[in-house]
This record gives sequence, C-alpha cells and structure tokens, in this order.
Amino acid sequence: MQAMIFVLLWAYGAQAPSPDGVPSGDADRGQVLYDERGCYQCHNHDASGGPGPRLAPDPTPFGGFSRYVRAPSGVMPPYTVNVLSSEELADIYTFLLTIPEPPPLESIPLLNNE
Amino acid sequence: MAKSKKGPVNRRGFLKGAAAGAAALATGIPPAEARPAAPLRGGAPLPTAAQVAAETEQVPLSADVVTSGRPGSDFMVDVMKSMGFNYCFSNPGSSFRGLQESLINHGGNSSPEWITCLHEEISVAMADGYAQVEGKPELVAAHGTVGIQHAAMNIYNSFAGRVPVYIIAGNSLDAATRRPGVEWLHSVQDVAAMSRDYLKWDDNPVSLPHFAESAIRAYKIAMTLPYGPVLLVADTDLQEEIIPEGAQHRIPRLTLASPPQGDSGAVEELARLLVQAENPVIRARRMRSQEGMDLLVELAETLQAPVQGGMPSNHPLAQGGSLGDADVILGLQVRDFFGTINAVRDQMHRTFSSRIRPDAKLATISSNDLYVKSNYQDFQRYAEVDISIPADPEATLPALIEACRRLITGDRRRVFEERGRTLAADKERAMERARQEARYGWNSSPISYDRISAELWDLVKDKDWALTGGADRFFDVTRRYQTKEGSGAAGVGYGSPAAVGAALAHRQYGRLVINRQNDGDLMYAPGSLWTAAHHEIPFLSVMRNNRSYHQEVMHLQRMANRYQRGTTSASTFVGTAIEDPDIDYASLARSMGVYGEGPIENPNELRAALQRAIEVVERGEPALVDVVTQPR
Repeated sequence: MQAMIFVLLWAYGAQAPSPDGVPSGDADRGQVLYDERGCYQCHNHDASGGPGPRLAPDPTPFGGFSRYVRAPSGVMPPYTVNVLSSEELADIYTFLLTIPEPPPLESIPLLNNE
Repeated sequence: MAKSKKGPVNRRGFLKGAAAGAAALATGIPPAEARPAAPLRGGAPLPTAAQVAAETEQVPLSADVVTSGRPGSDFMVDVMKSMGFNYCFSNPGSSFRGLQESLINHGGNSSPEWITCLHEEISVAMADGYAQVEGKPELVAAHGTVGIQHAAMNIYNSFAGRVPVYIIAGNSLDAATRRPGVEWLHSVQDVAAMSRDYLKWDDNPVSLPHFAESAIRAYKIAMTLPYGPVLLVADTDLQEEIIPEGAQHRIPRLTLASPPQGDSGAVEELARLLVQAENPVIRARRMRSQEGMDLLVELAETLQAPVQGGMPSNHPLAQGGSLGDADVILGLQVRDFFGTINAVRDQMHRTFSSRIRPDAKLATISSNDLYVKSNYQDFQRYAEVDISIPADPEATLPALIEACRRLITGDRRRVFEERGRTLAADKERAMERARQEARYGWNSSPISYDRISAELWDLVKDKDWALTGGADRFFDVTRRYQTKEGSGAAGVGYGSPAAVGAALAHRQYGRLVINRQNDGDLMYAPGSLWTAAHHEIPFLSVMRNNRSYHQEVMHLQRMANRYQRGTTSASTFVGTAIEDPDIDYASLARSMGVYGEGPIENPNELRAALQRAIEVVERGEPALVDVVTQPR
C-alpha cells in the first residue's frame, strides 16, 4: 500500500513522502509560494477560505490534495507541473500544515452573541 | 412668442469676428484686435480691442430685450413637482441651465432639491440607490450628450436591475439658435440613441404640452413593473421660451399602473405542485416592499418550505433546503433561473450540468417576462420550466397562498410540520457552522470579512440600521429596508454613489446606514463622498480594501493556468493591483470633508475605529473606515 502511495505521489510529481505520508517541504518557502502562485486568491492569505474552501488547519490528505490541484474536477484553475513543480507543491502543503487551530468559539464573545 | 435667444444678431460684430477668425486661420497669427494688449506690470491683462468694442459699441434696439417673464422651464418644474420628486441629482450643465435656474428660483430648490453630483455616473447611481430604498424614482438632470455619455454605465445598471430612475437630458435641437462652439458640441439629433437599448422609454418633446404629457407618461412607465430608467429631453428652446401672459398649460393626471397578478389557472396549478411536493425550494429575489417580504414569510410558513433569498435572515425557513433534492423549485423574480438550476464549469471546455433532479418540476413568477429587449443580454439564458407566470410575485402571492391553503389537507399539514422542524434544526446547525467558520482567520491580518461583520453587528444590533447591499453574514435582517441590491449589471462605479443615494433615503428615518465599500469601485466615483459631506448625508462606509480588482486577479490566474504559463506575484498584478502606491482612502475621505480612519490592518484595532466612526455618523455626518481585508 505504501508503495502504491509512493507511486501515486511520484506520478503527480510530489516529493517522496515522510514516513507518515506527508511530503517534506519548506514551510517558509511554501508560504511565499502560496501567495505568489495565487492560492490566496480563492482561499485567502490565511487559507481560511473565501470563494474556494478552507484549506487549513488540518488540510485534506496530500494524495487527494495533489490530485485535485493538478486536475481539479470543479472550477479551480488546474496547476500542472508546468505551473507548479512537485517541490513547490510540497512546500505549499507543508506551509498549510503549519497553520494553527483557530481560537475556540468560547473565547470569542462576539461569536457567542445571539 | 418672444425668445430671448432668438434676438437679432449683432451682424456687424459677427462679421468682424468672422473676418478676424479667417485671418487667423490664414496666417496662423492672431489679428491685432484679438490679441490681448500688453498687461500692466503685475496686473491682469487688459481687454482686447475686440472685447472693448463688444462692450461699448451700439447694438440694435431689439437685442436689448434681455429679460423676460415666465420661462418654459418654470412649467417644467411645475410638472416635476406634480410627480412628487424629492431630489434632482445632477452635475450642472449649460444645456439645462434654464431648468436649473427654475428649479432653484421658481421651485425654491425644494421637492425637488438639487443634489450636487461630481459626475453623471454618480447622479444616476444615487437615484438608483434612493429608489431601491423608497421604491420610487428621483430625478437626474444631465447634458444630453456628454452627460448621458458619462451616465451610461449606471443607466445600464438601473436597467438591468429594474430600478426606476427618471432622467432629464438637456439638448439644443434647433441648429439655428445654438451658440457657436460648445453648444454645438453638446447638441445631438437623438439624445437617447446612445442609451436607448437600456432605457425603458424616452421621448423628445417639441412643445410644453408635449413635455408635460410625456413627463407624466415617463413616470408611469418607469413605475410599471418591471421598473426601469426613462429619459426625457428638455430642449433648451423649450426651457428658455417665454410662456405668453395668461397662457395655461395643463399637467395630465398621473395614475400608476397596478402590478400585474398571475393568471388564476396557472396560480392554482402552481399551488397544487407546491402542496404535493415533498421537498419544495423557493428562490426569491428581494421583494419590492415590506408587504412583499411579509407575504413571502407567509408562503414559506404556510408550506413550511425553505426560501432562499428575500426572507428575514434568521427565520427558520430562510436559506435552507437543497436544490439538488428538490422536487419542486419556484423562482420568484429570479433574474437568472437557468443559472440557478445549472452549474457551469469555466475550464478549457466550458460545460454545463444540471444541479437538480431530472424529475423536478420548475415554476417561475416574474415580471421580467413582460419586458425583454434584444441587444444587451441581461435577460440571461432561456430557462425551460413547467409553469411560467409572467407577473409580479408580490401581487400574486396572496392568491397563491390562498390557493395553497385550500389544498392543504390534514395529512399534508402534518408532513409540513415535520418538514418545518427539520428545516429549523438545519438552520440552527447552519448558524452554528457560520460561527465556527468565523473563528478561522479571526485574528488574521489582512482582516477577514467575518471579523468585520461580527464587529459591526455587535456595534449596531440595538440601533435602527440599514445596509446598502445584501445581507451580511452576522446581521439579523428582519425588515426589507435593511438590505439593498447591488449594481444591476455588475458595472463597477456603482457602489459608493448608490450608497450615498440610499443613505439620503434613509436619512429621513434616522437610520444608521452601513456601506461595505470595495476599493476598486470607490475609485471610479470618489466624488460621491464629497456629495455626502456637502449635503450632510450620514452613512458609514467600511472599506473592503483588498488593494486590487480581485475578480480580475482570479480571471488572470485562470487564463495563465489554462495555458500552463502560471503566474508570479508580479505577473498577476499587472493591470489588476491597486497598490504601489497604496491608496490612502482615509485621507481621500478627509480631503472631501468626510471623517476618515485607517488603513486598519490589525483586527484588534478594528472595533474602536468602527465605534468612533459610528459616533460621527450618529452626529449626522458621513464617515469612512479603511479596512485592509483578505481578498474575499
């Protein structure tokens, strides 16, 4: 199964996964690329979602993420390897992994007003 | 009938000027009498010899008749007053100088009152915003040429949005009476030609009785559903001709057309579908009055059916249901029913797919079916439906509700009650999800839309407030006036002036008006802020400043990815970014007499800034808070 995941990721151009299946990337570079390559346009700078869905925290598993980015079934513009390299995709994903959980609802009084 | 403009020409002076002009043309050197005399040291230039001659020479006696009695424009103002206009939104122009003077001196600058606008596009959008709140048209006065050219985009917005706007356009049709030069440039054979495709009606009256009749007709047409903008030419000769002593022109009586109600047989058939449906969904555009909103709630509660749009936002039946599960879908004045029930995938090969069940029954009630033009494609793609009722939903709902009630049996009522409980629970969950989602990005900079919405709501929830756009995520909309539709044709340059127009309408009720202002839109018509300050129109404008034409940023990305060329920050922003330098919107506002704060980039500074601005607005002044936001 692990071999199959590896083949799949390789086929979609991602870097070799770490033992837990997540590609190793550079989060700082990923943050820059996230904006540079236009991810923020639909998902906002903090990946909290806008016209497109929220991406983080807890991003969708890399396999599905990668497949969708390369050949989206919806309205998202496709990011082929000519537009976004495997390393860059891994960097962006690694950046998404660093986005922390938001504050709990109870800690935001304005969101608890009826 | 004497016409001051048609007094004998000073032929000698005219010929002398013409000869001088010809000489200048031939030699390229201004003739001596046209050249200014050498100025005194440090003083203003002396008048030219020609100017001195013009001021001092004898003129024929008949040209000395330079004052007159009651002009035609006084009567035009009487006609306008008979229709109950409150305001005339206008940038001044010589082609309606007579009308402007009459409006001020004859009309007392009251009902209608002149509202000074700094661009004709602003004038029309202000009238549009006002009409969307009050449900009636106000006046716009503009040059028939350059003014209507400026106004065109927002006339189209009003047309596509089915908003009544009443435009008076000045023009000098009689070439024999035009002043040489600019008046020729500002005259046209057919004023409305350039915008007739997006005017509901227009006319070019050639007499004052003709003007009166067409003026009343124009109002009636603008206010016959579906509403729309109309244009009436006020010819300069008509404005400035003198009404003979004792002459009386009649103003026809205005009787508005009643709204069209749907055919009773079709309404009965629709009621049967709705009552038998297991999962009906109603899509509604904002109703045209509070009564309409109340009727929509009544229909929803009668059927315990979800209504998407047009409802009080926290009503248990608002915004619920699923089009994909629906067995009956009813569209009420929906502008794009095809787009409602179909999805388009904007990829290399554009594909359409149905969002609904193949066996779903579809019905529409819309007055838009009663009036369609050809050239501009605002009518959207043709929708195949089972029942099409070309009528006003609001006028038809009472009959539909009654028909439904007659058909509801005890069994159906029990089904409805169970459905209502399910929808209410869904609504609770949706509201909880919205609160949960707002946590993400709560502390982000740039600031999230949800953060702005929640902060604003907390500050205004106990006040009588109104938005100048659609419902906001955390705002509890309970009254129809609390929202407004946006630009009818998605033309940019509408938002700010329309907000000022809406705020003017709300001013008489003392409402706290909140405008969510996009940066790109404001820069089309920043002068609208000056109008708000000058006429003391209070409203709070909260900038959604993403420093770009963001829709176009996304389109550019789509193209670049489609052709596998990709983007970088630099390439994406070519032609789309509004930065470097960043525009200081607070200073821009202050420069025009509007209270300005910002740019606010730290979310923790947002609340205090909004609070201060609201205090300014509550003192009766406009205020702007520039908030640097996430893209969307």
